[in-house]
Amino acid sequence: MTTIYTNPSSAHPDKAKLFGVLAEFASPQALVDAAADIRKAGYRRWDCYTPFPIHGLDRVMAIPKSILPMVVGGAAASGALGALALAWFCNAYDYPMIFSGKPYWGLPAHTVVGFMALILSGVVTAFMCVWVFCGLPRFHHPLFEMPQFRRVTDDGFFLAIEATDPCFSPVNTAELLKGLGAVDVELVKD
Amino acid sequence: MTLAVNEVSVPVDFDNTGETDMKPPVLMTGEASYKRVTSLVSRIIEAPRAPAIWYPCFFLSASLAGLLFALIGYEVFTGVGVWGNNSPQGWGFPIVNFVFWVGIAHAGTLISAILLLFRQKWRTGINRFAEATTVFAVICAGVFPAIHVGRPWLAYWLAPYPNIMGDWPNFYSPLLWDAIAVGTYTTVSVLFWYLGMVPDLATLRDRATTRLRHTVFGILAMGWRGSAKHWKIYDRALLVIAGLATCLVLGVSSTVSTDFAVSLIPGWHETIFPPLFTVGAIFSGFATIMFLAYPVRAIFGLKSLITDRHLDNIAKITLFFASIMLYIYLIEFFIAYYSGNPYERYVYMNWMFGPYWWAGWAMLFFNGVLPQVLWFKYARTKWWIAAPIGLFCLTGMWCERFTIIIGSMTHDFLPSAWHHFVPTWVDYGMLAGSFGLFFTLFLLFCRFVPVVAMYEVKSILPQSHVHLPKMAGVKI
Amino acid sequence: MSSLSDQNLTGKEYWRSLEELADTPEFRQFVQREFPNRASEWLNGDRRRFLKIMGASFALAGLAGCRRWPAETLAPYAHRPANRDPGTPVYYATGMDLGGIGQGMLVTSVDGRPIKVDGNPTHPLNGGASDIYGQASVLGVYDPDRSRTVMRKGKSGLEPGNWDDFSTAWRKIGGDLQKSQGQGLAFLTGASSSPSVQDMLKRTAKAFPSARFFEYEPISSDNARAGTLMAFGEPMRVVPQLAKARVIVSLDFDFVVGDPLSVKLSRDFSAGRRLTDPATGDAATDMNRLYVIESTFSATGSLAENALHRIPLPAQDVVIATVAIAAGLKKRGINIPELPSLGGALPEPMRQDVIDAIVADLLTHKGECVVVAGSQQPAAVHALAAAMNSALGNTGKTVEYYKDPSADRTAHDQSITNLTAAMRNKEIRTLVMLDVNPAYNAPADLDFASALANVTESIQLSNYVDETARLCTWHLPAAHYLESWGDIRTFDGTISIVQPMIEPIFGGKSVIETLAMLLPSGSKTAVVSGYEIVQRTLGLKAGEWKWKKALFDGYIKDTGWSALTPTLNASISKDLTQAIDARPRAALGAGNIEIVFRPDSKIYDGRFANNGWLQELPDPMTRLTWDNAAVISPKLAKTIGLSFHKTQMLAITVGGKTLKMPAYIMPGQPEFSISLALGYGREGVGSVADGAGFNVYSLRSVAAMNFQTGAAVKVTAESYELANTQDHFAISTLSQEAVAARIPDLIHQATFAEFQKDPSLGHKKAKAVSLWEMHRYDTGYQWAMAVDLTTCTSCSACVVACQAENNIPIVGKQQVMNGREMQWIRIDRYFRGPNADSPEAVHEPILCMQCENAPCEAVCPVGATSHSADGLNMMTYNRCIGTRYCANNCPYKVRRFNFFDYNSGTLKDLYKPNILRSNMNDLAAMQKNPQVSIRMRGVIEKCTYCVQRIDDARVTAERQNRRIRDGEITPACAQACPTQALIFGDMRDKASRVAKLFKQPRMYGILNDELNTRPRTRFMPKISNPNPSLVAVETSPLGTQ
Repeated sequence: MTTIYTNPSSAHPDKAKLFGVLAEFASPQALVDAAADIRKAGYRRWDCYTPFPIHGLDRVMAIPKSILPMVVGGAAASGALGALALAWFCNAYDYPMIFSGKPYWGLPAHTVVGFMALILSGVVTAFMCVWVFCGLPRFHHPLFEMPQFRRVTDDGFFLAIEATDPCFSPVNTAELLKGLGAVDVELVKD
Repeated sequence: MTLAVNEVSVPVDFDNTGETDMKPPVLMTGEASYKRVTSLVSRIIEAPRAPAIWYPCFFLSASLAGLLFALIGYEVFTGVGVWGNNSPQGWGFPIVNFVFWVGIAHAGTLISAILLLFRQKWRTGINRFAEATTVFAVICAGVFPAIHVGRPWLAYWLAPYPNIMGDWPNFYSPLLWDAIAVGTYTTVSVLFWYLGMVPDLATLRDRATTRLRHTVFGILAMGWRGSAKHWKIYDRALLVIAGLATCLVLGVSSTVSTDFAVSLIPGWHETIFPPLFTVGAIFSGFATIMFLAYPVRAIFGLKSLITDRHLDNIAKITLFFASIMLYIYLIEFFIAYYSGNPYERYVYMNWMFGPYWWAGWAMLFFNGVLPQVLWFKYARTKWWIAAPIGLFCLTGMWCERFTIIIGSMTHDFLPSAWHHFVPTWVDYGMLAGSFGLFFTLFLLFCRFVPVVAMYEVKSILPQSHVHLPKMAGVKI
Repeated sequence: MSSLSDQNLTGKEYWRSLEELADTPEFRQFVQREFPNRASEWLNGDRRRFLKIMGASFALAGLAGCRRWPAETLAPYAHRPANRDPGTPVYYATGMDLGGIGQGMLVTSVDGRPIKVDGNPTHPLNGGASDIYGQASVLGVYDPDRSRTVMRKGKSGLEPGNWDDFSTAWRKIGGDLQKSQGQGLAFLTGASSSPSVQDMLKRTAKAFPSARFFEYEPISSDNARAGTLMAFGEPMRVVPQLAKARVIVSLDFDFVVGDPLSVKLSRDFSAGRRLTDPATGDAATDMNRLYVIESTFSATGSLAENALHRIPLPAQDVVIATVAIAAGLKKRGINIPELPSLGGALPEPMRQDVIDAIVADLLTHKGECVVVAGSQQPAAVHALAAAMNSALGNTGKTVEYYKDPSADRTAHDQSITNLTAAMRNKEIRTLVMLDVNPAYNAPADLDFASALANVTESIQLSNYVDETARLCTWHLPAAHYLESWGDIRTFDGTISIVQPMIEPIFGGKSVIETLAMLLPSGSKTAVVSGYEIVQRTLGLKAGEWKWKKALFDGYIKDTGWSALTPTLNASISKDLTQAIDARPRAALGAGNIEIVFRPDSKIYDGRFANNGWLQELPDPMTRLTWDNAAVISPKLAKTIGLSFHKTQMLAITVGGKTLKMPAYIMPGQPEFSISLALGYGREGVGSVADGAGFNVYSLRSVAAMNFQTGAAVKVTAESYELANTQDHFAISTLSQEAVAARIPDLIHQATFAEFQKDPSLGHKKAKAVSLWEMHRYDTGYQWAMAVDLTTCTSCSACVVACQAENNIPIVGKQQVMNGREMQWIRIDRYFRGPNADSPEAVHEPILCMQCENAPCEAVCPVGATSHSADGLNMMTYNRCIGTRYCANNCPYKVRRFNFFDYNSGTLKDLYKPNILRSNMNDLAAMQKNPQVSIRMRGVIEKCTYCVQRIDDARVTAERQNRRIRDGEITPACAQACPTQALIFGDMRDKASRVAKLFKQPRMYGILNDELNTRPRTRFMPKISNPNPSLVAVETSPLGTQ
């Protein structure tokens, strides 16, 4: 079997028409173990699909850290500064008015607005980031064609290797996955 | 049916949610399988008809909500005079109700956010509908400041936009802060709520039997497919939002409290108000959950997901905050006395012994004293004790707002200006109407949206815990 | 609320518009009642007429730039005449008569519409100040409820006619009467100071030799006449000159409110109490002292130096006090005529030591003291007062006597009695009633109404289709004094010409014009227009210099009489003894209660009952609006078991007649004396008057016009809602104590002695520490106002003046009860003293303090209220969205909110959505001050120091390239104030009066020490000058109730 790994040339001829191969596992543990082996096998373009986030799976799959927190941080900071700048522009620069004999610019009073702007821009950014980074919404996906994949949001634990992966070979990859204890392995059309 | 992990089948009513030193609690009674979780929650939405009781409840609340909007129409076309407001009492019921609802709006975010931060697993059973109460309460709250102004059609002048008058809003005004805070809070809680719901919507999409359902939930689910990569981003985002939302929870009530704390009216001008309002808000939020959880789980058969253990914890938190409230009340009274300021002293005396004494005592008793019953586990877990206590706490909180706003304002500095406040039928109608609006939304939610966060519950079932494989040469 | 209060809003609506009127059921029924057949033409006609007048008014104002000549030539103009800027106010001098005493007025007119009435600065009586009657009179012109047409009795009540119908009818009636020398013809007039009226009456008498003339005023100064008759042998007019008096003893005389002379008396009185001369800033070395012996806690009573200087006595016992004082003087060697000794102890709570103190004080101030008596006190008191004054050498100094223009007339009560008697025995076939309403205000026991049935032709000239009008065969609409030519004499006889400001809106005629109509039209030269009549009477020709000057000055120089120097009658002692012995002696008690009838502080004898500003004005002492109440002492209230927590109805039975009235428990009211204000309980007069209060005339009898003993009161089960602007509710003891503790902070009080010892009265300049650098108001003008609590009499002229100047709407009884009254100034009233039976009362006018650190400003989210560079707390109405946060955060609660659209629709349909309500009608619009915007619903409004006047002055000053001079700007309130208790100016200008006053260390800002609001409206403490021997024991304040 090892040859399979070392001989990519023997790839399936109509590999192009395939999305890849989808394997289902019985339990989170099985999936995690399989994922580990797949990674060892040197696959690049593959992913796991689960009804809930499995703690540690990301580390097994070596999914890189998300930059989301940094982005959010930046957005939040600029939101706050923007709000303070607005307050200054409105009350101290563009149309200064005397209110209760107070100075036109009063940071203590304006912090509340700054704070709220910080939160708002942070949260909105985080929300947007989820979709941008996940490439969602995407309403059509080859996996959705697989009837069993419907259970991914219920109790199905799946591992899909994409045909575009250099190591991919419909037969061998499928074999490999079976070998890793998948209860069911099927090719997914693109 | 059999359990996924160990081949021993368990009776459905078997409570295995208790702490044991052997393994983490299951937080779900009966058979703890993924399938069961899914079906328990989904069937509510997929059932052709709602439980019988749902219909009369919905009819009642919907008609009250209708009343609310009718009265709003009347008020907008006639004038603020239709309420009991007068001089000195410029705010009256609308603001009392506003502050009351904003308070309630705090449980959801708190449970989801703070408990998420603290990795409190048990939150999963209740956070979804707690967040729902947040969203709906904040909607009810938002109604009032918008319409309480004399010229509601000009309320948008609070927004800083270049206008023909060439002037801008006044960033010194707590009302402006308030508007921004509540606006922010609404947005955040809606986003947080929706984001947390996406995977469950995907579940409904995948279980959909009709084309309509499939399309609707399909769109709402944004094409979610449970990818591990997505889960990673998703988790991060939720965590970040939770962090921000936690600050927000503390911020919003404090900001609302500045409406009073920043003024100089005795009984309003209190530095302790920000903490008091925040604590009060969280308290009333949990009271609401405590009050709602029982009927919800009873009506929709979620006893095994919203377990006694959940309710026990909620009750504990309620008790905790109630005790803080009691403490703050006492401090307030003491400081009023200790300050030696006659105006200050009088206001607090007037709260308790003045014309609105009933509200003062209701505040003290329902918020501070009554919840102490929850020291007993028996009381914490019996629906016929806990739920009523939740209701009483809500009453107490409303009375607190009433006492602070009306009890203080009607007796301020110049005795010649004192005047009683007498609510009109419109005031009462709008109060009732706001409850109607809340329950209308809540009932719709229970019927059409997963009441429990399925994926989160699944994620904490024992079989979801995996042992990471040893991987020679690969760093994990 | 209660049906009773709803009933206050029934009847015709207030400020209704004509077209709306046409299709309200009220109106249809109103039409049924009054003009069954011709309602529609009447309306259209009226509308056309209305537009004509508007055009006409422009024309008028246009003529000659300042003064309008013959009212006859009227035409809307297409070309603007020279010297005439549309929209700029023009000022005309005129005069107003009240109860036979005229006062000179200065009317502000814009585009031919009179919009404001003030005192004429050059007039001897008011010197530019004014009272609430003058201020509110302008609203009377535009009262939509005024009678609009001539009416004649038809099968179904009154039917509309016109002046021609009447003159045709009169040609016949008058013709017959001429043949019979006027046999069976009688005239009933009110007291009038007008020379022209007297002259026309004489001519009428000549034309109808055997006609009979009667005069009746429900509130009459006849007792003073009788008193002077008793003292000096002839009736005279008593005019105290309080400015010269250092000790004043008032015998039941409320001289600061509700007297035709009030403005003069208040002015003079305050002159002796002003502790810092605003002009120089010098402190006064002397202060007058006031003792008040009174039967009702009045505004005057609240000015008494302290509780011991005010003796609450039943009206019947005031004579005893008077005699006691006189006796005291006599004992001390003053030459007082022999008096009957009263014997026995003094009636409670009169104390001998107090009487002695008064006597001593009078003695030490011979020639600079005065004893004044109230018109409801019997002749004896007046005579005795006169005797004391002359004995003390006050005559000609602190009290002057002038000849009574109509010395020979019979007393009013006598006169009306004779008239009704004559009517009963059918001696009178034709009765002409000019500007009187006897069916309402004649003593009830005369039953004027039924007597009127015996008269074949009864003709009444009146402003309203009132109680009398409905019984007459002819009703003629009267012209308002602002609509007609005429003349008046003031207290010393000085004549002013009354010139019209506007064509009679409803085609009314003045008294003289009506009389001219009634005169046989034999001679071709018959003079019919008031314009000509006045010229003829005064012997002036229009156009000639003297006439112009008279109109310009507002009075004719040297037409006054010189004061008389009468000497006491020989027979005075005998007469006095008789009169005093004849006094009621029955001891008062719960079974024998005394009823005191007083003119109302707001609507006088009822003639102002349909004036919304006055109806909604809080009474100085009771703070009641829209009602009169039976003012009863706490003791008696306890005795008869009256609730102190809710208002109950009292059944008052006297002389066989019973009246049910709400009770108002008033500290300081004599125990067994209940005082009732006249003028309320009108029926079918107007939307404002109808249903407001209770008709006290129904208890009044000729025998007891002023007070009557032997009344019995019973508490009924009914309760009632009074619209009270202070203490709307029963105050708990808890609050009571809180209030008591606060008053010293809110109202600083001290005695003159203390003031002389330490002018700062122990005020330390509080050092304000601020967390931020506060805005410095150190450039340009810095406006400020000084309020002197010592001279404020709570007469409320400022409140009405403000309402007139700033287009402040009235809100109706219901809304006042809801605490939504709109007046920008309120005059707080607090009681002070150890016992509720004889407390002191203090007053404090509260208007916007224009705080430099205004708490209201920072909290407005849209910046609708902010501070101007010259220190005004500005309110931008059109930016306001109505969050009411500013009002909440105002520690003084001076901000008012438009809970409804008070300027449109009526007071009855406030609770209807706006789209179902009519717009403000034309009449209402005519009074509005074009310089002040009308506030719509949902916005806050407040005192602005009359910013429109400030800006006017600024423009003028800048045009002339100079600074605004001190005194150039006077806010409406300060302008009206008879006592100069309000001084406005630029505090940065060291020379200004306000700056000089602000330098005084005793000045304080309310709550400034607590809140550091730095108010621009500062107060001078209330300083009293008690007799050293009558310094009350240090008193704990009573609080508000």
